[in-house]
Amino acid sequence: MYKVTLMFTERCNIACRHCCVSEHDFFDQGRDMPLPEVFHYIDQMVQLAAQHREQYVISFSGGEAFLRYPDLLEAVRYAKKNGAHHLSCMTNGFWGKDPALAQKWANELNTAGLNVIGFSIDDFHQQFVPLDSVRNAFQACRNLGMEITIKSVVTRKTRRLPAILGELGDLLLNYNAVVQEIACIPEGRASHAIGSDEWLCQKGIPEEPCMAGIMLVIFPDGSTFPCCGTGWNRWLILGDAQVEPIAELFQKAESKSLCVLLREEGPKYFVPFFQQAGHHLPSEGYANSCHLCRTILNHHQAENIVPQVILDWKTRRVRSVLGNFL
Amino acid sequence: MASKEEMKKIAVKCIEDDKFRDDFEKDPIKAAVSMGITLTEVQANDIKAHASKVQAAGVRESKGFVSSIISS
Repeated sequence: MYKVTLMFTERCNIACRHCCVSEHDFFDQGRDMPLPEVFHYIDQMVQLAAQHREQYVISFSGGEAFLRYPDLLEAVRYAKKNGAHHLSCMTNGFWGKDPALAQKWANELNTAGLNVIGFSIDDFHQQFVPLDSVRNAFQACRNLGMEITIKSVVTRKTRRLPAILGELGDLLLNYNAVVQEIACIPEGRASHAIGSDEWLCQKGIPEEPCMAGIMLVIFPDGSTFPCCGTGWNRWLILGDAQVEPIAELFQKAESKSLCVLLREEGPKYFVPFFQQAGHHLPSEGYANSCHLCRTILNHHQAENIVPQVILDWKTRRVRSVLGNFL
Repeated sequence: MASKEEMKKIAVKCIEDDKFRDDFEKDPIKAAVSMGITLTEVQANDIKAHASKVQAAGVRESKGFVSSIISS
């Protein structure tokens, strides 16, 4: 299964405190991904999937993808026509203000091929988007039997997922929806707008592995990353999808040392190397492994230490594989 | 049959070239040929077995986590 997330636009109609894209060093330029480029990426996914007899899925994200509703509709229609297995889109649900319009848009998108929709519902978004709008949009999608996901970003000072779900009333009654509670991490605007006392950190070093490379995330300028985590930085850039074929970017995601290391060992692998070099990492804990990954790759000593760690890992790995013959 | 010196060359190439390392772990004989080195079946099978073991350690850890992400 080949999966790509297209950051359809960097624009958003709201300015959440926790946003990881807004005020990001790389991405908050208000750029849109032009429709011809979207089609070009989809064409390449079609070829790649056919070549490997696999399916492909496309997610539209941002920013707020529904700000470009006519383009979104066109893009979904094009992908469906070209055999996309799954098509999904994240939204803040602002377009549910008018229930009739919400049903019209949901109908059109679903008919065009969108089968999964994700709603961002949490205290941050609800500062700007009335929950009634989200409820209307949710109901419109539910009426069509669409797969629905709910993502809530939380901190120590926000409400947690059960309270948020409670506000949806009967919308979830007898309906299967995927819900995900995500600890806010200091990326983008959140890096300065949310104090460290608000982060929902757990003690110790996160042990969980990383998913780097199981998908591509492409930004409007073509910058391509191997994850949808919030550790987007130069170490993780795979290349520029505007000039490099997507097949090559998937190949890089599969074989790039840093991606393999993160998948097999997780960012925790780096920790002892920083400690041995006398550079202590923050001790107040981490929200998750993405938080640790970001901390490591943005560390002021990353330039010196990360290449050494990667070399060490590669050497160990090659010894493990070829040891009997060396 | 690849000599010890040739194996060292392969090891260096694996460290320097990510794509080669990936290809080599998947198909050692084919990747070695691209360097003008011939591996025996026995050598290739040993390498593949060790590569699988190394990869499996990571897969065991990440499979549940990754599948939960994909399904969401």
